Amino acid sequence: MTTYILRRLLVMIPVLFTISVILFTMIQFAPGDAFTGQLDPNVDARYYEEMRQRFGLDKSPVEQYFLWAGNFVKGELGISFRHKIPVSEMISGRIGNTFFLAVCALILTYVLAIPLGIYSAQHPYGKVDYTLTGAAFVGLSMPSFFAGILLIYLFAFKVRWFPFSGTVTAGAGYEGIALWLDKLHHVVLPALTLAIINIASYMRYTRASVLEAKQQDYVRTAFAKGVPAPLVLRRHVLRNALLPLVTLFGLDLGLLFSGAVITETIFSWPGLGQLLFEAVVNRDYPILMATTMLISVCVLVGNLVADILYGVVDPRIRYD
Amino acid sequence: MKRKSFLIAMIFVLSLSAFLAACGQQADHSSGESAGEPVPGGTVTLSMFSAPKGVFNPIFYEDQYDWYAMDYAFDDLWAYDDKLQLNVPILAEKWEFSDDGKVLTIHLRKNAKWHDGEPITADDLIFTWETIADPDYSGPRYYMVEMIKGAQEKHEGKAKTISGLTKVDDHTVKVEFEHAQANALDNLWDHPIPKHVYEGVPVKEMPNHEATKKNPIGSGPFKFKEIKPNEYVVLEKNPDYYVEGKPYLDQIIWKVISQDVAIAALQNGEIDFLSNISPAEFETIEAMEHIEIKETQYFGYQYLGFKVNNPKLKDKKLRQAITYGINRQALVDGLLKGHGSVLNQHMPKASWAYNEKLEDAYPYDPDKAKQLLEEAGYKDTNGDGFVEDPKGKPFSLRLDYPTGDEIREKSAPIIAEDLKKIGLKVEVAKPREFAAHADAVEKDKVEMWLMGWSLTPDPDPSGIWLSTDPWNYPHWKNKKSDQLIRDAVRSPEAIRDQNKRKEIYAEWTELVSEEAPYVFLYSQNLIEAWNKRVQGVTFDWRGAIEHYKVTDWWIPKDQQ
Repeated sequence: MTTYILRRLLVMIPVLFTISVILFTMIQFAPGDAFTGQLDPNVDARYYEEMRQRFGLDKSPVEQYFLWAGNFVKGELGISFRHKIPVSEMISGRIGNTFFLAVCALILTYVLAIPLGIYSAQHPYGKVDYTLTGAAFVGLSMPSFFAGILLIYLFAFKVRWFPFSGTVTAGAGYEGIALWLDKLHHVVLPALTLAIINIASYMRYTRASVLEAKQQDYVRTAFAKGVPAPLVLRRHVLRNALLPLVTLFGLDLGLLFSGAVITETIFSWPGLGQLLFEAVVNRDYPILMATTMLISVCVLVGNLVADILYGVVDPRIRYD
Repeated sequence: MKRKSFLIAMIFVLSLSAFLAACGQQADHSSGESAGEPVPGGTVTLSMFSAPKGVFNPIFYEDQYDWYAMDYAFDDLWAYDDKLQLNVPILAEKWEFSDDGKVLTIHLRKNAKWHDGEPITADDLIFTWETIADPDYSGPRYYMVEMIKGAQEKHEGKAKTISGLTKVDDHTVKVEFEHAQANALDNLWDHPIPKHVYEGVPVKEMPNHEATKKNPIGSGPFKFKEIKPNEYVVLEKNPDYYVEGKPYLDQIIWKVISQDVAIAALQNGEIDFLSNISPAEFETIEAMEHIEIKETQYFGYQYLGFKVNNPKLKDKKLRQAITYGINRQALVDGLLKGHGSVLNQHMPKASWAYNEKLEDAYPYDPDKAKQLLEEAGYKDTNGDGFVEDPKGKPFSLRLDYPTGDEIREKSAPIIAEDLKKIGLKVEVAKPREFAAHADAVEKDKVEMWLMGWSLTPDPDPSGIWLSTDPWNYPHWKNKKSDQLIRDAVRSPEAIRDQNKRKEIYAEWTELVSEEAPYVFLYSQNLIEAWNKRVQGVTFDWRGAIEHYKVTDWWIPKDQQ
């Protein structure tokens, strides 16, 4: 197992390198650079030329890439062209928020999707099953933009149960428990928005998986032996049906930091998604490269975790 | 017995609640009236659509949202009044120019203090300018210090200090300029930063210094209380502000709110103020009883530019024909729903330099347009509905435009339709994202394009209109225009007499109108709305939330 993990980790390095080269090339294809769109008539145009020189934007793309890569491996993520603030500072300010939101969304997803999926599978083709299936399709087809606005309209506007912007209440100065409660209060709507699509798909997935597991021979044997139904469910069906979900969990871990641009924008939730989007629009490649590398590392590690977990949970899988 | 007493208790509770509800109603009604005299206290919440980057230092910030957040915390030396004259003394009590216009003496007021209690002195002012001229300075304000004698030498590293700055005493500074200019005051950087905070910090590190990001020390009516990066900024009243009794408000909160939910937030009181409202939302907000909405001409305009150096567009008559051929009033009425106006010059209506004569220039006249086209040699020789060029070859022009402004995007096909009616074939290119569009315009990859400019109270058009300016995208090089622009700020008559300066601009705007390197399309109105519970709000060309107006805002006791 250890050799397997080590091998996987080593393979990550060339993968990351390739990703960075591809990303950097794509950025170069976008017309303009970090200073092109800025047309402030009150600022002399010479200022932008000076800034270009200062940041090395007038050098060749290959030279710029190696400059960036050289700094990156040393741990220096660079300085944002647009904002002149170190990239590490910009990311660290937002990473906590994205992580919190993603974890809450993940919890909501599993807490809601799995029980609903199991129930659906237990009573297939019944009224509840059809309702849930219908709701799932609606959830799947709803763009997060629309879902977010709808939730805001219903729960923040019509009834003022939840706030619709920010992570905490402005100017209130909460501390300790009150602060955490305030944060939880603020995260409900954005987490729900993010979770809706996931809940829908996970619920369907769980339902299919459980239905399939119920058809297996060993389940019939268990019933024949007289094992009570709940025990059959717990000990035989679920353990096998939820296996694929373990791998999905690993992948979800990886995507924790990718952020959800639209949701973050609607709820004014300062996260990595917003940062990434802005960086793309502004051609701010230090931020772009650093954030994408971060996400790539997370996804690769998440994949690795998923594969390991799968090996742990399913004795049929063994790595050498 | 139990049942009866229960019934009585219920009746009692119900009538009590009905009574309380009625009382509650009455309280609501009384809060609708406006109280009389300003009282201290209360919090106002303002909103912005994008998060400030956190560079809360006037000489280093580049993001407009950083400025919104720190505006009320930093005073300037002087300010514009409602007639666009730069003559309101703020930190500077008075100032005068020498006879030759080259030396400015500034007298600072003696009772102004920084938020940490230190007095604001001439040292701070000089320190600020020296920092901007420093070779390590990385902000964009050098061009507001460049005109001081000796600043260029310091900027290039040839001198240690600016020779043109003289400290006369703790509250008086003499500034000598390289040349006398009519707009010297408008262009001179006038937001001092505290020397005692930044002294000794290398200029390179100032943007990241604690005083810039977490604990800004300013001079304004409000000071920073809490900064939550990317979400909100809380400002609290400066109790030692040099204007007695003001500001009235206890707190101002700047919140970051997404544009999609902003109107709902305004309606249910989460924010008290909203700016940059689009014309489509005007009526929705006007219908809200507790919200006041006002509009004024925005200091800026949208235009259609011509690459004058392109042989296709060289003929002035063609450009004039296009100007006559676009129904600009229809754009204002249709797309802006009347919340805007046609503009014919690079000057806002509120400016003292606005040329009244051009008010009705280029009315929509398709016949005149066709006539001009014919005179220029563009005739439809093959009957396909489109004119050919003077050499008889097929002729078409391309119109490029950016995304990011819905109204501007909608105007592009309408303009193409208008021009089709006068016989011009216009290909409307696919819209590009703004930075890509700007890149294409800069690299001359376009023929006609849509863009906009914002204007400043100082009418000097240099920076955009001089033949040598990089922002001169049409590449319109006209010696007379250059001469007029220079005369308006450099000639002794203009420096002495603003009316003379106005005459020169009148001549210039008419020259531009005749040569038509742009079609000035329209100027959208600045629409702002605020909750009526905030009293003392005034609205003019500066909008409602201008720095010095905010000190007049107050909230009646029962609505705080």
